[in-house]
Amino acid sequence: MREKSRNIFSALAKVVTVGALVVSMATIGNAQELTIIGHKVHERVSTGKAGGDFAGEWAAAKNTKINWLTFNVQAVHERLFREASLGSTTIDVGFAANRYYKPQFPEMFQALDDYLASAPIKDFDELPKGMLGALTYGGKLYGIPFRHATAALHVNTAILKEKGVAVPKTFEELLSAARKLTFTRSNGTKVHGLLLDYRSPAILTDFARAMNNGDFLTPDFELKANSPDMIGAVEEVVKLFKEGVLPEAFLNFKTEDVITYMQQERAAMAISPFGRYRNFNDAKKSKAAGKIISIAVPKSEKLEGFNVAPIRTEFWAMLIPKNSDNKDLAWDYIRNSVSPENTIRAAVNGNGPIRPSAYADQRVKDLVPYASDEQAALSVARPPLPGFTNSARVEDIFIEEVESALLGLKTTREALDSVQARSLPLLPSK
Amino acid sequence: MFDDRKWLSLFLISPVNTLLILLIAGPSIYIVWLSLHQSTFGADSVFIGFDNYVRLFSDSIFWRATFNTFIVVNVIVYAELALALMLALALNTNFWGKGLVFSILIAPYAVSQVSAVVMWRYLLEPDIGMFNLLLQNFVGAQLNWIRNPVHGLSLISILSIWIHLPFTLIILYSAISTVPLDLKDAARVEGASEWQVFRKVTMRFIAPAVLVAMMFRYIFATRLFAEVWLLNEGGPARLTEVLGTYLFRAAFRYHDFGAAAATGLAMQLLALLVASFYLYKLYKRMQSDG
Repeated sequence: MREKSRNIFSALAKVVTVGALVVSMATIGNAQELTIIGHKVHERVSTGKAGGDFAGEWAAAKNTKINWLTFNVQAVHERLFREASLGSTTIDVGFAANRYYKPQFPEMFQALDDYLASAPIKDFDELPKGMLGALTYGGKLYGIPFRHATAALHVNTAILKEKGVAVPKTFEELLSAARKLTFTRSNGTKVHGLLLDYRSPAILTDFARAMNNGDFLTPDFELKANSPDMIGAVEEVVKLFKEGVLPEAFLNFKTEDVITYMQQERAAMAISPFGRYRNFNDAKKSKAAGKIISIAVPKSEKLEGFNVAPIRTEFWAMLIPKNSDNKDLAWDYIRNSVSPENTIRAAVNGNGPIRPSAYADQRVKDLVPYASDEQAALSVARPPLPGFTNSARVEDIFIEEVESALLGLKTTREALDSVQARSLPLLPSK
Repeated sequence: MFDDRKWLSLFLISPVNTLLILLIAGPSIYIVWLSLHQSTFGADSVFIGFDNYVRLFSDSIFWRATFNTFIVVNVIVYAELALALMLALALNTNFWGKGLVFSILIAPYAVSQVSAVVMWRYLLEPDIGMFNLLLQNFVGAQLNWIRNPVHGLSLISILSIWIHLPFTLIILYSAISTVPLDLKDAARVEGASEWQVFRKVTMRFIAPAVLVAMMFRYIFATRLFAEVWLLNEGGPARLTEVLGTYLFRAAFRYHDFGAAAATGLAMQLLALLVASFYLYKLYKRMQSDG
């Protein structure tokens, strides 16, 4: 009996050993891995159905397994910067948004100039110079732009028709329409005329831009928090809030809330990135599916030199952590993702294309209904504020003070004077 | 100085002491070191002495966060303790469906904090929140937690109590179950009223458990974070900020690890101050018991 058991165990041990050897040999001969950290939207536009899964095709051609790590915006940057500061990391490609760019990039990320020289990106000159400039430190390039998110005006045409309001063509008409579109339905449901994503300087600068091409913080770090343009913009937002055009919950708004309000037809219009068109018109989740159009935010009738408002655009770039062991593979992935063809395919999947030529492609024209408006908006849009070490602190100060104005604890001027005074010491020296 | 027996004792307890040093003392020392440095991603740490503490103590929002934390923590701990005590006493009697009631009461502990906060957030949403609409219809006013910081802090307290009540309830229920019935009966035979039985017999037995529950809840509640951050991120205008959210901003939004470490130590100090009072009480009680 004991002999029999021993034989069984011996046979089992042999099977396990041979199995382990086979598995480990298979693993050695198997796919290499590339780990990418970003927002869910980066994965979606790189692997989507409409434009095709170009990331998957690249992975198959390179015998590589792509691991996507996706988080919310803040967590993406926290994790990426942490990984890039360690002795080693498993992250090979990271996405970072422009407002998070900071002077410590050369310590954390790989300069890409040598890669660009040895394995160039096709039609590299087409990539926007402004975006590349924001990714350049000490004359070296640290990231390749992949996606822009430019603000649009999303309009629920059914609600406008119900209230007999025309789609606004100027910013003044937009404000007037927002007031007319604020009402309570017979079943008690409140409908709000306008939604804004958040209370940050990036969002409220949209008003200053649309009204008078104003700025909160210029690219050369001139702070204009209490300029007449910003005071006018925030005063208008405060008025809209007090009149109930912006919902009470605006004081606590997050991106998801804007999507929910629009999907539930509890708001008639929203200023939010063009890409939200898909969320708002999602047939599975939205009561407003098929009713929402996305157009360029109209400019004030007093603003000259523009066809549409010079609204905010924010952009994401791909970077390679300096401590990645897979830099060559990571570069190959990046240059493939931003090729002219894949830029178009990503745009069809819902990405904001960083190559202007993508808008001329018939696939984009056919499958992206807002393409021409997005192109018009992008032609005059610019980032709302430059990235710097204390950008998050300045943003929090602005939000705190604007909320004080919204609550009536301070006048708009007092609040913005305070933003100016508190933020100035936090800016980089010119 | 040490005889062989003492050396042997030290040797035998050295594995656990090594673990404690590695897991608790080591990181604590690192946090103290970090709090004296300017540290962020992609840059070498620079020694700046007590600058982080100076900035911390001169920031009015830090003091507001400390005040809010102090108030909310006390409300949470005492309200939760009172509620748990009442429920534990009620559950200590026999009634039909006791198991079901007990299960319902401890169920919130199984709900993730994120789900719990999101659920409450929507139940109390000003436009469509079911609870707020009920309040509006029956009381004529809503819990305006988005706009009013007092309402906001109240909701944070309610949420925290709802989530953590099972912890305190289980400790107190276990303690009450161990009170000898014959002692209570003897007190009643001697003519004690139910209140006197509770005060003179039950409370005396469960006092150590109450102190333990209080101490743990004080320590946990001082670290209050998820309820506030997920509900309103310390808003509006940072009026409901607590130390946990203040620390989170410093570490994960500003990537200012020196300031975050200094805040962490301030929080630890606050928890230690509170806990030391209860630890002292426990120590005295243990001494008098025996």
